[in-house]
Amino acid sequence: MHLPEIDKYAHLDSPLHRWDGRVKVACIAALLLAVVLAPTYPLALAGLALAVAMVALSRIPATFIFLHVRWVLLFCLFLLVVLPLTGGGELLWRLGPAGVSRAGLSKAGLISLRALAAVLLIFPMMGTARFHVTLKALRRLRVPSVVVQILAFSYRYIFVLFDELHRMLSAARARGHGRARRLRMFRNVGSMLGMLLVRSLNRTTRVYQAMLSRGFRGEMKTLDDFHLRPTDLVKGVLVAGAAVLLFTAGALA
Amino acid sequence: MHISDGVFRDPRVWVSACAAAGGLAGVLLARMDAEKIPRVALCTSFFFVASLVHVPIGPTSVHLLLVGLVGIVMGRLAFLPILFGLVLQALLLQHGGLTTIGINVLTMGLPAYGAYWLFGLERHFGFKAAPFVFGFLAGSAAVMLGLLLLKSVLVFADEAFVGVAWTLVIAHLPLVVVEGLITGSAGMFLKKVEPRLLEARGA
Amino acid sequence: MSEIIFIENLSYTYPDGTEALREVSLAVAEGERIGLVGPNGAGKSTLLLHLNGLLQGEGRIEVCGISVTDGRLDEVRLKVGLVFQDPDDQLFMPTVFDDVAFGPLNMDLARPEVERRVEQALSEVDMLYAVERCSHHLSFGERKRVCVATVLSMSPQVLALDEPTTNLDPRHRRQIIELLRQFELTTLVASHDLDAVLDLCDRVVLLDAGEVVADGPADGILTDRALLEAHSLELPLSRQS
Repeated sequence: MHLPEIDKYAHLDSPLHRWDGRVKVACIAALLLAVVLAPTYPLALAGLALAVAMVALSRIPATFIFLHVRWVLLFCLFLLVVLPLTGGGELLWRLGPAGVSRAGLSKAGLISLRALAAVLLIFPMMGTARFHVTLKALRRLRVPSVVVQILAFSYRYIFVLFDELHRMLSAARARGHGRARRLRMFRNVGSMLGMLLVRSLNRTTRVYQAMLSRGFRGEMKTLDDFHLRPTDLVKGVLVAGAAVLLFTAGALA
Repeated sequence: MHISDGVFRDPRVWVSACAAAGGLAGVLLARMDAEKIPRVALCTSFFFVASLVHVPIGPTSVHLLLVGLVGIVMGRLAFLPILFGLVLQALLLQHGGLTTIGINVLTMGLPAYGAYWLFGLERHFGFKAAPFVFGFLAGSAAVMLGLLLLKSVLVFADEAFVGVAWTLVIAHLPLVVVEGLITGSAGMFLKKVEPRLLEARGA
Repeated sequence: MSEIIFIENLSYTYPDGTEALREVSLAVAEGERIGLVGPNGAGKSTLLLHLNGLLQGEGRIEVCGISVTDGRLDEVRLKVGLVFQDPDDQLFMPTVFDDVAFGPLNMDLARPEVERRVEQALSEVDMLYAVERCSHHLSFGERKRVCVATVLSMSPQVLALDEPTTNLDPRHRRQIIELLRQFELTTLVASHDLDAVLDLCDRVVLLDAGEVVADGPADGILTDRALLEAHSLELPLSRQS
């Protein structure tokens, strides 16, 4: 288990780190959409190239990126194995009773390119500012206040619950449950998660009381520090322009 | 069970799923008291943190989903923690995708309601292990239902996904049992330690 | 009127039937520092929650001359700063700044005033260096102090603290006691740490099973071994031997 610190490298300095959060999130989201919609190999490759370029520009270390994209890589690998074997149609190679389908392989390759490009774009979008700053940017982009509130609270308590779970697991290991038989282990994990759930839900009353006692009346207010400068707009035009180009090329293809 | 971005050739598939999920979330949020915000948020954190737990199955390990357990304690609001949990998984862990949030939350969030209903039947049975039995049923049915929904979506979106869809279902069958065992034990624990939580869930 | 808190015949029963407070009466003068002591389940925390109208029992309760009833809770909550036992309940925002600014922003203050209050509150608890940090990166002792700042930033008249010294190591415990001694606010401290109460408070109210069983000068009650032991408490360490 490791902690989800997508903003671990938010303290670095790069053109993406200096970019106004609102414009950054909106423009990269547009690019992500265009990449996901890319219908052909050349366009998907172009999207991947753009994503790689932006990741490089963000100066987030490659090892960190690799650690974080392993779920998506695993998913792509799965498609690259299964789709060609079950795709049917014209066969490239024969492997005993089955064969490698051309259409299946081609489809899996295209999907993998798009999936990889899309997931790489998350890093310049989310990894170049502290997460709470990005949330404030989302609020300014008219994401409903209650949605942003819930995301902010959940983010805060992920760390609290993570520590609690960690302590429970260590305690269980100290009592020797780590070596328990399979069935017994599931029962222990179940009770432990039940305990975590009870603690979390009991905490909600106290959190709400703490909010009320500091004058909460149903609407969350925060301060932010967004200032739009000309360079923010220039970067915005560049990235949004790339998104529009990619999208138009895809629509015409 | 998490579908990544870029899988669907036809954008109408994921756009309509996002619209449906957004609509349902919008209705639930609009009708929700501000008082429920911490409850939904803490349950989201729970869903997120529990998904970091890996349990060994044979040579590999799987991570937990626990949509059934979320359904059992959250009732009507169960869709929300699952939605926000998936958003955070996509943003913080790069697990799943952003454009596929709609599909992922519909296939995992709707079965949570099935789990809620199933576990509710437990009240009518007095025997000692009833919370475990119905917890098991709720937990495994939620995963099974989710898999079947996902399979239909994949096949509906693209005929070529038939093989992929079935492979996904078969690969997740051990998880159906594991989630059942864990949800059953958790249900037993909740019933024994904090039955109040199970009674308050519909509110 | 010199009484800043006035409670008369306050009773409260939890929805599950537990009688937490029975006919509690208490008058607190401005500037007093009062220790609420008693065994677990005596009703100390329940009483504190009533000061902010978070729970509403039967009986009369007034803070700064304002009756704690539905129509006037917003005013009352500005007067009483409530510090919860677990800092993770109180620090629900992503950063220290957002948490300390939460109260002032709910008071609809202008941005420069909010920033001034955050800065002042954090420097009073010696935590200004952490203003941009995330709460989960702070130590337990630091989080406790930030909790105090989250209510100081609202300029309350009364400070009510639930177990301010629990789970702290000796150095951080000493720090928070010294911190609270500096304030000239009316202070209520609910605590099991009788040494801290003896250090901080002039007056002690002993609660047991929801009733006030003793109310008087701290060095009277906290040195009465028979009384304390009758209510599952022990003499403060500094008064033993």
